[in-house]
Amino acid sequence: MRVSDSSWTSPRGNFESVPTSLSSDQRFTAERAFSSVLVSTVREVVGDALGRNVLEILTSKGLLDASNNAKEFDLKLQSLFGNGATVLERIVVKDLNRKLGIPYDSEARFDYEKSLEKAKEVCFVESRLK
Amino acid sequence: MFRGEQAEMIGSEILSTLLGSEVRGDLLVLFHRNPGLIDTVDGVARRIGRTTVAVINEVRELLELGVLRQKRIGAFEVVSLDRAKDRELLESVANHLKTVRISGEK
Amino acid sequence: MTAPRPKAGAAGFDQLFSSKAEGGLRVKTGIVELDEMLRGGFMPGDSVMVAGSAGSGKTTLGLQYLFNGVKLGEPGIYVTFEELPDQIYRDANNFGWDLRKMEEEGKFRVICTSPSLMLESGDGSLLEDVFREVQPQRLVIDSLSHLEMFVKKDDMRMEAYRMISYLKTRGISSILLWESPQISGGSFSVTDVGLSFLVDCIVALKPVEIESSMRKALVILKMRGSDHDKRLREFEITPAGIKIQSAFTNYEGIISGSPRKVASEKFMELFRGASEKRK
Repeated sequence: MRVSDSSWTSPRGNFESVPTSLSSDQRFTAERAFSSVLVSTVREVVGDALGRNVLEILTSKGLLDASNNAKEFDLKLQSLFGNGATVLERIVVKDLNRKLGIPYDSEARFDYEKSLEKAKEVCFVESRLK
Repeated sequence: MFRGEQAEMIGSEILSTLLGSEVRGDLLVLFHRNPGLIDTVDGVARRIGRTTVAVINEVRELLELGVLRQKRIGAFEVVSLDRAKDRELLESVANHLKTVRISGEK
Repeated sequence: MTAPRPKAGAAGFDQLFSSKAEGGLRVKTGIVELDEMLRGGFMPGDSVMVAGSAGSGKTTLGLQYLFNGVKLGEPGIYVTFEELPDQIYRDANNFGWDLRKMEEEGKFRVICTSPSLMLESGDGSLLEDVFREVQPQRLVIDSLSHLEMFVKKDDMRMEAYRMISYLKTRGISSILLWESPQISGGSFSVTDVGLSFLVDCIVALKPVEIESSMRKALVILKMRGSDHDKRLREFEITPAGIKIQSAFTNYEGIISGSPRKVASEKFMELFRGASEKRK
């Protein structure tokens, strides 16, 4: 059991004393939880934007396998959709943030990888708070 | 141009129109999740958290493509999903994507 | 037995008035106990008001009515002014009702629009396309209370009459949801805008506190042209939808908001208590 340090501010600005790191079990659980939310969000967004048929085709081509690797996912999306890839990524991040209670700023400069990192951080904080 | 090439181009053109902007993507997701939505452009803009100004041109693009259809109800112009045309367009997109190699695909 | 399809033109208009004379044909809700309370189901083409406070089960009842209708071969439409169809599909999925699948099969639609558009569409043009596609026999409006917010109080009765007439001329059996803060006393009036007299049937849903726990009660306040169960029945919202339990025979004053055990039941309790003590 790790000893908590002095108060730590979460990305949401909650001033609470929380453990500053997770045990390996907690980390594993948090990773899995985030991965699950991310993959389901990608499925929903692709399916809702372009239909179930397209989702099935892209699943068979291994798109969803790359969901947890932002760089690889981005590369695959670019090869399929060109400029449209960013549109889908923005919608994924928007939906993901909504599920995790993170605000989304459509005017801000968009970086898919950084957005996922931020979302993952929130997931980990939730795990620490539990 | 061969027929296959024409169909190929159409599928990719449809895709680039559908995903031409984030707002258009939002509209697609809204109407696909809620295919029975019938509302004015103002109402649709409100539902996706945007202004009418931000949405009106994107709606126009989707009307021209045929994904959305327009109708007059009294003093209002309303838009709704054209389910049949939408199915047809997504079928073309699906057929196009079948032929595209994804990065890393063997 | 399911309701017959309405005839077209003048014959359809005549049928509007003669349908109640045709014996035995009812529009089943598919909720067994409720159909028993209704002596088989609603009358074909009737407008039914389902009134209740927020969270009382109105939407669930409306969806269950339509879902069961589709299973009986009667296509339906759910018109919502507040919740998006996406939320309706999710709520229905919780009960195992796959509404999206029914939509794909062309037997069902969830239409989401604004009350102002519904009111603007006096000639019914808003729903004509979907009526043509689905050929509904059942329809739920969620809710008339939303429409009321967009209409002057004096005009509400006229607008409701217009809507009810439009649905009746198409032979559609409708459920109109009405959010009422409270239903109390012996009055049949569940709205303060005189709508109770326009509809053919009123089903009231009411949360009640009995012995420190919240329970749900259902009563048929009115049913034109048919006998019905007049008792207040308890109901539950189960994972499979609404299930109606027994009548609150041991209590009185439930509708008035002050439930109390009936005298005979009190006497039996005392008697049981005294017997226990003697043992």
